[in-house]
Amino acid sequence: MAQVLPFRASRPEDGDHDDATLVARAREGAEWARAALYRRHAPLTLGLLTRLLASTADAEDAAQDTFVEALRDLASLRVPRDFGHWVRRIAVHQAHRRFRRRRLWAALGFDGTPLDATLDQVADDRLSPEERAELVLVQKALLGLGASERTAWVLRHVEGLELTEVAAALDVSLATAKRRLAVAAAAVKAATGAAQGEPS
Amino acid sequence: VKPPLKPLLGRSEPDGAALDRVWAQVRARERRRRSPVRGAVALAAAVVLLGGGAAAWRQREVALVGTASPAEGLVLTAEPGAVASWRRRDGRVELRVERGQVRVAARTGVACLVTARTLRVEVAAATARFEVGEGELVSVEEGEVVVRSQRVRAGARYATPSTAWRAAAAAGDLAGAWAALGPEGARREAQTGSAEVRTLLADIAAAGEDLPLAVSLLEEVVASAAPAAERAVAAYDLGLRLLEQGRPARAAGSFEEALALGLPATLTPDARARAAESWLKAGDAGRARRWLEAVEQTP
Repeated sequence: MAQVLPFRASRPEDGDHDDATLVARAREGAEWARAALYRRHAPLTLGLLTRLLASTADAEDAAQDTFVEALRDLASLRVPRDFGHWVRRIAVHQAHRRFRRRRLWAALGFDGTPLDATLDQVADDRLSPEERAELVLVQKALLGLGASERTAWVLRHVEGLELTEVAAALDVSLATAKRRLAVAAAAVKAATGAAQGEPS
Repeated sequence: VKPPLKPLLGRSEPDGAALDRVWAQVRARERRRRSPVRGAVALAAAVVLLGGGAAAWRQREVALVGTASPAEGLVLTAEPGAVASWRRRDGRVELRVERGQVRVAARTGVACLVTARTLRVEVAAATARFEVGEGELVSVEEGEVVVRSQRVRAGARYATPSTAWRAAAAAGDLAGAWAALGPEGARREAQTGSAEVRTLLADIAAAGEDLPLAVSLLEEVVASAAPAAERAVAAYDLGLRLLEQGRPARAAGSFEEALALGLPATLTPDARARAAESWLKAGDAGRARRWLEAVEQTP
């Protein structure tokens, strides 16, 4: 019944509709609107998941689950114009699921997921060896953190989100988000010697 | 390095191929989720056949291991790996074969009612071998038995169509259904299948990337005497497959035919949009514009 639409990075007709309109049409069953929502939000989501999970395979897997869930549960989205934030929250949740799975597999003695998208691996070629070495240290520190702290740090210091956006993506209060960031920042600082704390 | 780091991590941005892969998987999973009607029918049938029957059967059943003779003149032999059980009911022996091979030898004057998944066969004054795997197979060694109103004599056998693909399709696993069927199996099943089954087979063939077969099956349904609603869905599917094949003019015609036949309301806006897209690809901007206007006017 359904077909796979080829992905096109930009389609002018998608720009004619805001998210609220696309969500409304998608809820009515318009396939093109669902595809348009995907085209608009998938690049950011997949990029975020790649940076969070440091694994392209895990990121694609999580992105798939994210959009299946988002498009399936469109009816439960209270504010249609917030589709992007909603997808980000689902993506973060999916990333946490994979962090839990990795921990479980590690506890069972299985080799971990191959990390092929660590910060240093996905860095631009223009970075100096010193900068790349620093990214290695940051990544190592992040891998030693709990999922919540790691995610908070990535959202804030990699993605550049506002604190309120970090809290919303994690579905926690602002105070909790700050606490998690502080824990993560301390670990990163210890690893790199750089100050990346949050003002309280 | 100073945060935010994202501008420094250019190679973490996904390329079009990765986004295509994810979208293909999302659509495949949606497709599986959206065929609950077909799945539910098959599942309900399976529950009635297997679940409901099993509860009643379990009363006083005896597992059949090796050879047993539950009545004089009746010998049941289970091959290694077979899962079977028997019981006495109303003065008769009933045998249930769930998996593997069981041989039933009944002398004159003795009868055994055999249930082999979807088959119910009485063996009297005959010897027959029952095999339950992907399908059900009855081979007669001596005498004759009646299977689904067909007499099967000594040396002959009766085989049901494969059920594996139906189970996989009912579970939403179209790739699994394709693996069980293959192109030959799909054609064979289509010969006796209803319009709905043939449309499902086309979905399965498309999942197996056999687009020519999918198109051929759908064309048959559209041209058949099936109810308009079923032909409409088939025409819509056909349009999608033709678009995938890069035949936009024919795809546009299919979408228009689907709309004319009366598509379900949920598919109508999409079919209009597809018709517009197809005409545009076919180079007919005028028709594309008309369909786009129709899309805009969709409430």
